[in-house]
Amino acid sequence: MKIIGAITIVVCSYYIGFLISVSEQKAFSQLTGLIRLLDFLLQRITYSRENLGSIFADFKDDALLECGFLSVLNNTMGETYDTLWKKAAETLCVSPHIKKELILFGIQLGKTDFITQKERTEMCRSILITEKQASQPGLDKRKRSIRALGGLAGALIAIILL
Amino acid sequence: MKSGLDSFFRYIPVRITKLIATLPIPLLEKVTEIRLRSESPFSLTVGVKNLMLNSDGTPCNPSNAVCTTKKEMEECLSLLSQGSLYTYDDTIRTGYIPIKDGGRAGVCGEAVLQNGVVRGFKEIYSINLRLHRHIPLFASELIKFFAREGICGTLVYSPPAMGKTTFLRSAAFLLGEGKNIRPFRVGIVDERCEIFIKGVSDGLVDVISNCPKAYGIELLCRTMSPEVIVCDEIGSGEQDAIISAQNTGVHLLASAHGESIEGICRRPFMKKMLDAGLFGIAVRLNADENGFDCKIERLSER
Repeated sequence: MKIIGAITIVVCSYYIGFLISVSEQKAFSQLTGLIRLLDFLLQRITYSRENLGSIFADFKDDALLECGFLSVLNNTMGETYDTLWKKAAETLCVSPHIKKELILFGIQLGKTDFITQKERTEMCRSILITEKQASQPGLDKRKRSIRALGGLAGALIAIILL
Repeated sequence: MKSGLDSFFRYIPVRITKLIATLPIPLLEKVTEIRLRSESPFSLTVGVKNLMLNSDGTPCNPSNAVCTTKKEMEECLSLLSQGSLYTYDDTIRTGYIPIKDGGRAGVCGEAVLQNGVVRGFKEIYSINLRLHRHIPLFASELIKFFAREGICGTLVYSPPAMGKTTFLRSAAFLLGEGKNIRPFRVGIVDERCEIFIKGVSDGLVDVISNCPKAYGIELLCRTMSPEVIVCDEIGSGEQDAIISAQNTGVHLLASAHGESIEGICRRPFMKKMLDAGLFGIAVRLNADENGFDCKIERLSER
């Protein structure tokens, strides 16, 4: 009975570690998706001056679709894009400082002239790229470590309880 | 409501819309403009009168009038630009945002200059939503005159908001449709997307919109060989293109702001066009709460 209990604790802890590592991967995919979205936005506003509605409607990204970011942006219902962007940013599981940067970017979204809009988009994009570059190298190692740490923590709890 | 004002309500903040909607329908049908001002009273233009409303929706003095908040101004701009103000940089620079279903919103505020040229507005303080009115037979007197005396260059003038664009639209459509006159090939140079309304006329009307007048006139003459060119609010710098178009035998129907021909002649570019014999007649427009009125004057007799 004790052995079964110990195994359950270890498996559960490992599973928690696994979930945390998945969310790390998710955050990374969302960051990649956001950079793609800003690239797409820059391209569309620079070359065809399309409005935000059609840009967001045309953009596809699995990570941003899965978390609901794109659905929020595309469900205007009379709301302005600064409000929608803020709501959409809340659906992401990126780091708090990136979320803050995104919200700051959204405040003026669609409310400025072309040059300002372009500058702000480029600035936000460069912040996201810096964050991505910083988190990319150790991502796989970090995911493995989190899973292993989960398993170890479970084992430790099991030994203490036994 | 048949005033066409209802199509504007989608661009106005709900609080303001509710107040305007409380007015009697006969009055609403006469509204030509809705003016929103940041932290100042909003007003309606009815003929030559400015109407302000208090919180009950009753006409009142400016001191008791309902003011538009900064947030409502932002909301209105967002609705006008479909949340993408950058798409209207070119028109905002010249002071307006075209409205999708016809009409335009004039804007002004704190300008941003680049090398002495307005690049845009840092903040927009006022929005003037101008309603497109289509009065099909407004220019029927002019068409009768053309049928009787022959078509000639025509200058439509009046102070602002007296119906010049409405008159030009009516004249263009009546000439293109051949109402009480043979059908003419009409070219409209609609620089500010104000004259032409899609789906209203089935006449011989070709339109070039959102394009500088001088270029539009030249392009229409070259490619569409119109018999009549219609354009709104002639400004300085456009006289040469207009005079050159007239030399190709095209008749011009144009408008200008002015109280009298003498006043108009004080502007050198207008004098140059009048001296070149571009206009055979002038149409003086008047408007009051009872509607519009026009008077045809022969310029050669002056």
